[in-house]
Amino acid sequence: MRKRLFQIAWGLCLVLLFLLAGTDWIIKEEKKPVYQVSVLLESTTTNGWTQFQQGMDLAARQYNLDVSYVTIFDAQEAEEQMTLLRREMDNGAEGIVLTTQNEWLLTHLVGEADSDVQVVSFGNQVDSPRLKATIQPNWSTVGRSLSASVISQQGTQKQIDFIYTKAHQVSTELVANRLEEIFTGAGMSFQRIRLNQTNEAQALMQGLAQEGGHVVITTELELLESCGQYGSADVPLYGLGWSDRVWQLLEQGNITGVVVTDGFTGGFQTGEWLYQLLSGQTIQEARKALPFVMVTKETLYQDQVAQLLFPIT
Amino acid sequence: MKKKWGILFVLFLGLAALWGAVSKSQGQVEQTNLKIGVITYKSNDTFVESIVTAMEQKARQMEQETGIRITLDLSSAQESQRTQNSQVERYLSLGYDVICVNLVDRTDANTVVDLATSAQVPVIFFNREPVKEDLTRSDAIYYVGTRAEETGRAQGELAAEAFLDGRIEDKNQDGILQYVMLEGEMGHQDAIIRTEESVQVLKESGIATQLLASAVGNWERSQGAALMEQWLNQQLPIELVLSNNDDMALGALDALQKADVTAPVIGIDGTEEGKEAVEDGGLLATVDCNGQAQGEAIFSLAAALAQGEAIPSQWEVEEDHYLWVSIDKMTDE
Amino acid sequence: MKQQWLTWWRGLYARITLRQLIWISFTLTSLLGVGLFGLTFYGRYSSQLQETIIEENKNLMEQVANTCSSYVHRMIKVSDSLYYTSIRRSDVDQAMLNASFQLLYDTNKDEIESIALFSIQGDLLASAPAATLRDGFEARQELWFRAALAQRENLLFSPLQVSNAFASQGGSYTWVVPMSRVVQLQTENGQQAGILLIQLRHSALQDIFSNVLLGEDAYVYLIDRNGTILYHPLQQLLASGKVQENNQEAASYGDGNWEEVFQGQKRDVLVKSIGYTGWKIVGVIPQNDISLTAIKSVLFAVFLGLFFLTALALFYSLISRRVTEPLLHLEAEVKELEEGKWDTQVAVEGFAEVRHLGSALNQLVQYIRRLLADIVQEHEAKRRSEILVLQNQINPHFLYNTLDIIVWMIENEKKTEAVRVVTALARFFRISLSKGKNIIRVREEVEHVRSYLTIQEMRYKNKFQYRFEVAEEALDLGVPKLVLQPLVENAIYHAMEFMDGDGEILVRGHVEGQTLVLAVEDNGCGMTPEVTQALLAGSIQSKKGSGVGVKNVQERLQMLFGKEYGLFIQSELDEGTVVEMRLPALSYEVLAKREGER
Repeated sequence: MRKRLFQIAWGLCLVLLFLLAGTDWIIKEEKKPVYQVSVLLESTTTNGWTQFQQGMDLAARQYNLDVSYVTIFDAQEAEEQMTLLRREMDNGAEGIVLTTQNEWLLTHLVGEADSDVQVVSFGNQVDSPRLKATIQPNWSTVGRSLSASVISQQGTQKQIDFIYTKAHQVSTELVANRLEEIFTGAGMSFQRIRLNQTNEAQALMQGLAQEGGHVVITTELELLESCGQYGSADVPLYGLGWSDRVWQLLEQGNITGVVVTDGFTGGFQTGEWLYQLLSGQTIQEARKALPFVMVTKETLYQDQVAQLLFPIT
Repeated sequence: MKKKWGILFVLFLGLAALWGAVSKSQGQVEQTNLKIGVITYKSNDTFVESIVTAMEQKARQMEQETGIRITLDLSSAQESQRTQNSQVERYLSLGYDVICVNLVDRTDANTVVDLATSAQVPVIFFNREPVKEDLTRSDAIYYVGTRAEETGRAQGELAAEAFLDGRIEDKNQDGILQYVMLEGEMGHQDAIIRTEESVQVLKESGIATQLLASAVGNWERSQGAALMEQWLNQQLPIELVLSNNDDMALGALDALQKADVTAPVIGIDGTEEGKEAVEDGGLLATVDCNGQAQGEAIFSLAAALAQGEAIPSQWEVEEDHYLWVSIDKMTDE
Repeated sequence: MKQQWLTWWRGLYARITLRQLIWISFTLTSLLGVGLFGLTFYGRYSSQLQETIIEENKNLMEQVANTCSSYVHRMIKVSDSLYYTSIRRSDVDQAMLNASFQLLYDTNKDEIESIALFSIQGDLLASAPAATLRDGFEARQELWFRAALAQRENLLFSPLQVSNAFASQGGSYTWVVPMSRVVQLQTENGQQAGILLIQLRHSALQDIFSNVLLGEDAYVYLIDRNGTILYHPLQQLLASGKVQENNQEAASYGDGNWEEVFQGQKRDVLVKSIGYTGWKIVGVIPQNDISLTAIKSVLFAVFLGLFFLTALALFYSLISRRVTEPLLHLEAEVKELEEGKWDTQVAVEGFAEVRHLGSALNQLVQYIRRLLADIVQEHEAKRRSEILVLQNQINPHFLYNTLDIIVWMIENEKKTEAVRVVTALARFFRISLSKGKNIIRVREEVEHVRSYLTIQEMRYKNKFQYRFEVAEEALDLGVPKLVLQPLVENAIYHAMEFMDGDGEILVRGHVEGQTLVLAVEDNGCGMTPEVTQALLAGSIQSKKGSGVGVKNVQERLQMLFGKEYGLFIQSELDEGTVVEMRLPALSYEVLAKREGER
């Protein structure tokens, strides 16, 4: 009787070992998990986000991410992002990158996110335990760099016009404040001009060109592109952001100088963070500074600048 | 004993039915989330851009109307077929529903076809046509575009009309139309056909033609400009500039403007800038290939395929694989 | 302690059956054999695997190096053929240059971004694809321009840069490796120098290097002779500083295998140089790559081992059972024999030795059975003769007859004869009984016969004479009782019948060496050999006799002493008969002890 029992036990043992070792039923072959991630862009197109996408794509390839870029329908309804966020999470998004420049909106978006969804942000930050990591340029330094460029290239006799359409944008406010600080400190006059729509740019630029002695600065990409149409030696244009159009305008001389942030690093880093968060690892540095360069037509193809503007993919 | 087996059998059936129901409902969940991948052959072809932009708009529209989440992912193959192949692989591995491919090398379509067929994912080729053999290899392969002969002929007709009613000046009064041809790409089917057909139509209209020079501009505006500059430097008696596409035509226009010379230029495509140039009087005429319509067609087809529904009746699929988009002629009249 | 263990071991060993022993030893030796084999094989195999992997990686590196090298050479050839077949021609013009540039560009479009010819002043003389210079572009300030001028005899490969010479196509950029050289141009102003620039697309390098599979986590990168990276799988991240690479140190490595430690990780580094350019291909293999351990593999090996062990054990169990079964049968049958079942037939089966044992056992058993039967027979015979002897000890007929004679004598007042006969009778019966003993002295046997003859003489008055001649030394030897008397009786009844007073019976005894010879001789009518035979066989029944008979004597003698002893009859018709009895000359004590009577 005992012998029988022993035999049965031994047989079962063998079967179990076989199942463990020879088949996939018990110890599964580790399949690399694919994490679904959404990037909420606060614009109606992905224009200007090419480098960010390139960086994010590299992260996606390395870390097995399924990335969706979500743009808003109506530029006037930035709050639409709340609905879109909800929709993304309902569709199974496990990680979210928030890019809104609106601090209030960012706070709400972060609050709206489900507890099991990882949230990181690019270009902006708020203090919230739900926001696990952020990468953004030091806006103050951006302002300083811009102003330095303007002063060195245009001199100190110019009138500085800071144009914007959207209020409550972090970059806008911080940069504008810094610019104001420096310019007024240098004895130059600085004013902020708010436009209601980007197509007002034409009229404004032409007007300023006629007046002469103005230098226009803007931190909004669309505005930069629109103004760029009408920029010239008469009204030097400086800005923040990078796109094909901006490149063209820079080459043509319509834009004099532009600050470009390292979108590739931003994209890659946010992607990597989401991977780390979703796979249970800890993040080393949760607050990172995004590198940027000041680009002019002359420096466009220099090594340091070219590497940032034209990522090798 | 029998009773026991009977009960077991019923239980088993019940479980099977339940499992079937569960998996089926999973399938239905898929329907609320469409993933469409688009790979262009390079990133700065204006006409292809217009197609893709139209696709994006249509996608947005559909999203708002139906509430279905649509992911339209765009990538560029940077003129490398290999890159395109690996991008197709990537989309397939991420579970995309339909892939739209703007082939880099139209003679090398079989990798894409193989990948898509084995993953049972429909593929829509557009704007750069693969050979028929590759298209007909499996059911779910389509091509959306314009018929090359149609566009070529249309350009020829525009030229013929213009020459006959004097808008194209016979500068040397020899009754022969001296022209230069900006060709799209070496060995590209559309380029070859457009080149041939437009001249053919001129011939058919009884106009004697003389080809002064032709060169390949790779569909690019800057190359068109450079070539035109060269020809101008050579003092060729150009009476007409024919271009396989609008970008090169605009490039030729750039060169002409730079040299302060005027000559009639006719393009094909009907890009935004092309049409603007026609309205401004820069381009004499162009053939509107309805990039907008193409984009909508591709997107509608893709959406229908992804959802397993029938193709909207406004688009007709010929020979099970071809969706031809009609063209329009555009002049400044 | 050791003693305890030893005793336990011995006890265990004694209890093991043959079957268990075979099974255990087979299994253990298989285990040992397989185990040793497996370990040595694994050891050799894993080291061979290491070597194979390294070899393969080296081959892969060679292949990649060859591909890269042939790519470089092809590009060099393009430059060469452009220079020597187009630019060098004396009647060159721009259209021709453009045409030949276009041709070579079109055939190498995948690898070449553009071909351009610059004058020494930096003007664009020809290009493919057709293009105009970018506004503000100064060729003379470019690195590739100056480097070419610095080394006029060579073809220069400059570091990676974004193609920046031509008016941009709006939105696309290409990273290229500029390949430049100084060329001699024929112009209206005579021979002048120019720079031929071929921009090699970085994507061509990507195609060559990005799919090299050196193993998981391994990768390949390309550096120029100064250590600047030309291709790296994470090139952009390197540029932005997110990751680091040990390329500066790798630039100092020669071709071959190296081990380095970078950022705390040990790596194997394979370096292969490309000729002419001074580029180096660096293959990096993190060292955790080459290992065979994965939990599943180990478990599988364990499973396989146990599985085979089980299979072997079962198999051996089967074998050992087959082998020992016949032995067990044999043993069982022996058990039966032990219990005295001598009828057991031993089955002859199994392998040779067992069969031999079986058949031998069978024979033995048969032999034993026969012996037993013999013993039984002998005992039976002995018993019978003893019974007869017992019977004969008191013979009624002889007694009645003798008593009759005594009565007659008494009635006829022959007192003295009567006393003699009674005394002789008493003596006769006393010795016949001999207090139950079966062995007596010869002396007593002689007395017995004398008594008998005394009586018989009375009955057969003067029919015969008798005398005794028994040697002195024979008298104290041992002899079975009632052996002489039947012979004398025989002689009287058969030989003396017809003698009428001339009959003589001699009873003699003497020792011949080791043999005691007792004989009864008579001069009677003798007997034929057939009668002799019949007598010894006992087929002649004497009605008048005392019943023991010659056969009985013969039987008893032979039973006690064997077939070489016993009765030997010599007879001649009408002459006489000698019945000789031969038996071993043993003293009475010895013989009596031998027969268990003392």
